[in-house]
Amino acid sequence: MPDDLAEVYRTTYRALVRFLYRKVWDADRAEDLAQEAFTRALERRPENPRGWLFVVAANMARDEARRAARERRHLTLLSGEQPAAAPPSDETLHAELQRSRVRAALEQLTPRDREVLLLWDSGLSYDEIAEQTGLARGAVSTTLARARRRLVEAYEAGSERSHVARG
Amino acid sequence: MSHVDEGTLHAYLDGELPGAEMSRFTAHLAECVDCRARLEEERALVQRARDLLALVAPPSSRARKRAHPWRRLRLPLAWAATVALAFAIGRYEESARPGREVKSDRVELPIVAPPVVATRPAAPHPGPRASIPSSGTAAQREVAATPTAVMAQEAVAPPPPPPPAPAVDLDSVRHFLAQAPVLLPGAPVRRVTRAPDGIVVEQQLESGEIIRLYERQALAVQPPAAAKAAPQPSARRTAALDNAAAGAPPGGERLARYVGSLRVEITGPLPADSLSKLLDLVK
Repeated sequence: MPDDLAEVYRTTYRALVRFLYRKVWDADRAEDLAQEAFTRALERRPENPRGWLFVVAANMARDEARRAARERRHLTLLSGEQPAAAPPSDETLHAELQRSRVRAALEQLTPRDREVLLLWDSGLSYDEIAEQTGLARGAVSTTLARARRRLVEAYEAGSERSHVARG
Repeated sequence: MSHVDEGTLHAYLDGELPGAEMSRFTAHLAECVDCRARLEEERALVQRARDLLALVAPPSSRARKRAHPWRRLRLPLAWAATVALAFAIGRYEESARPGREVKSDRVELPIVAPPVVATRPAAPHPGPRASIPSSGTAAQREVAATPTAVMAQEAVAPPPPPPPAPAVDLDSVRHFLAQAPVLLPGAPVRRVTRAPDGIVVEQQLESGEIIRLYERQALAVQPPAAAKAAPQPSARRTAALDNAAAGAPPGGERLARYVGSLRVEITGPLPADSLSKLLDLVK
């Protein structure tokens, strides 16, 4: 691996996995896709590898979502074969519930808001986000502000609904 | 300056406010109580959003390895599978050379090695792999490894190099299976030995564990009840567990599946779900 790409790998790999994980919701698949993105970067040698990697990763995640939708029927069939796991503890259940609420809240954002929020959380700068999304730099901050507010509101609305449901 | 907008507050909190705007912003903030209050609200919002996103960070690789040890066996690249197959075939052909002169009048093959899977000791094993004396053979260590011991194996040295392989030759394999053996793609073949009515292929996983594939012609096997009921037994797993029949050690798993016209059983020092995933990859 060339030095510059090796450095990008060192500083960006975990962030790329995090970014992908929040799109495909499968940690192993996120790692596979991140590695695939780096493999492609090795072949293409893009000028701005960091931004390029996130663009490619976002495209791969989109393809992955389509593929996953196609395969969902098979997964449903297979799920009956999963070995029985030990019953989860209360802490595990609570953490799992919180995670699913955050995930649901994220999925309520508009694609643009979600993208900007996830890119920022993956460590990209406003300039990099602007370049990748085509937004003006000034619009990145307002988009980010709106995305954060909507995420928190959607999460809290989801929590309230579940409290009401439980009575 | 009029009150600052939400975007400017977030850009400031993110350390992304350009220098020119920064001085105007701080000057306004110094004299505007409302904007200072809003800044604190937005600061809390930024922190809250960050905390929520942290809840959906991917689990660490280490945690996932504990939960799904089979994931350590990264699905091999196509070239890796090709290399492994070439290696395996090379081994068969190499071992075939000295045996050629007796091939023509050989009807029944001699058993060149103890049928490892079929003769597993039923006696209790001495303990996890790490406690086995170094004089034990690789085969003994494999038998001794239990699923609970597997969890503690991360820090254990990889198994020693294989003993001189009393391998059977390719012709014998074909003779017994009426076809080439099936293999787990990407895992090097350590040796191939004879079992009473088939062959045993030992393959080493990337993580060091050895798995054994016990292969025989499906016609030679009494199909289990589950297979009789199935319309197409060739493509589905037929006997999930038949430890008792196989005499596997307590805790050891033995899974079976039909691959084409072969019945393939897998054993190894891995949990049943890992073995099951591996068995699905065999072709």
